[in-house]
Amino acid sequence: MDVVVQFGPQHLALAEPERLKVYAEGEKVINVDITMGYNHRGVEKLAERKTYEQDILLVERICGICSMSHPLAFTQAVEDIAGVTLPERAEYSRMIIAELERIHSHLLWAGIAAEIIGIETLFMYTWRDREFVLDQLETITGNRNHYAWNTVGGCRKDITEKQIPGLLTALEVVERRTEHYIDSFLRNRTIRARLVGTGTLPRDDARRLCTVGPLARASGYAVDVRKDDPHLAYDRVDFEKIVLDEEDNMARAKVRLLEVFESVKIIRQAVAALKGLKGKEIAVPVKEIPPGEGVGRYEAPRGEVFHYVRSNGTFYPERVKIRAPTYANVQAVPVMLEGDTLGDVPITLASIDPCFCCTDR
Amino acid sequence: MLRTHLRENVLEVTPTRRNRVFIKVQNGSHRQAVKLFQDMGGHLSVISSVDLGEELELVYHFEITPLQVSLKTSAPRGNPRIETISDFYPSAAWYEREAMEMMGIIVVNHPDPRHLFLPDDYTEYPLRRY
Repeated sequence: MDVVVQFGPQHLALAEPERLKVYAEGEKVINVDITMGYNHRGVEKLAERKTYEQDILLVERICGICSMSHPLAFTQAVEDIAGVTLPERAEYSRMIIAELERIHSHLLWAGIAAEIIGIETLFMYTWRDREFVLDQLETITGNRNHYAWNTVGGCRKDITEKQIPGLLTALEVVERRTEHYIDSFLRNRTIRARLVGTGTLPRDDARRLCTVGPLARASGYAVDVRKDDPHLAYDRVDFEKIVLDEEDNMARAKVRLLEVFESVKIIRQAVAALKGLKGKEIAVPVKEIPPGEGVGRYEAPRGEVFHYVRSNGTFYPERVKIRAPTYANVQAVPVMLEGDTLGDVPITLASIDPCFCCTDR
Repeated sequence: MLRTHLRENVLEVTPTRRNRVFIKVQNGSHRQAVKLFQDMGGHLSVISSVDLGEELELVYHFEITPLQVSLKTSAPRGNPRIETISDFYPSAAWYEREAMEMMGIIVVNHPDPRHLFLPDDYTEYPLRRY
């Protein structure tokens, strides 16, 4: 055990504070110790002191990027307790916003990865194109993130006919540009040298460590809540679960970029379905939440978001437990880094698309 | 199936909507159940801790496709000792660390009982309600 290198709490590769204590022998990483909690805000405790309606807005603020996924999982858990069945229009419009969020999150990740590798041009291009998606989110929901779209029993707002053409045009642009990015990631020599064969997570380890999301799917462990536990209208639209078995950082980049196309596909089908549901209701009234417990799961861009809500029959939940995808995935980082060089630490850590804000809550 | 394995140790089975099942077992026999879930290819989502007043409860959320099984076990508040499952699921170690610091549950045989989110010198249990 020769060298101990501290990454963080403040580090260029990470937008959020987190500390990695990397034990290395020369350049080779032997072990990693992760310290968390720099962002702990006590959201779970706070959620017990607020009503369900307020909690939706609270959990939305856990993360700036998964700001659709957390309320979606939370409302699903509460709807499970209340025994509410969503109106179809609400299911489709929730799905549209959630998939738009996935596209912008994956493009954001591609930009960050490019920046860590050192190709700032690609970073700026991906983030420019991400703006198309954010503009659409702003037009539809009123906000670039923190959409306030969900309520228990449906949606707070509706997607109007006027917003559809702009949305479809933005999808076309994003689709065309993503093809270009896949090309860049696959053909650029610098990117290939940094991504291929680094940060390997074997399939068995992905399974043993119960990883989720693109990290698991890039290692051949096919978990996707949208397919495994169908909710909203995911069983009524046609899309593929992207699973690769190359296990390295490059596979994770590919999974994310290919998922952008699947999301575009889903949104197009959902928009078509919305046309057939014109004028239908977007929410059902929920009078009370009976005592009970519920589990809400949603496949966020980074992996499965898990909410467990226990109700005691009052306006306030008894217990809210939140598990963000990074919480499950970050435990695989020591396995991924073992044997790699110190220079690979930032990009490998970034390859799980970490969100420590979510993890610490 | 769990009933045949654990017999009188299963205290309560509550199926809720769709594919959600909540199972309560006696403290101690949860390890047998977890072993069974592991053999069935279960995926551990998270471990929640709940303060019931007299007792402290751990809820292990498993995904055994197509079911979502939540296994519960509880220990008295005065002596909240529950044995670890991190030898079956390595990722359980972190969830148990969180339950230890936040709810004050004593996880027996834990491989690394340090604080995870809270500072090392923090001695209270913030998520206890009663």
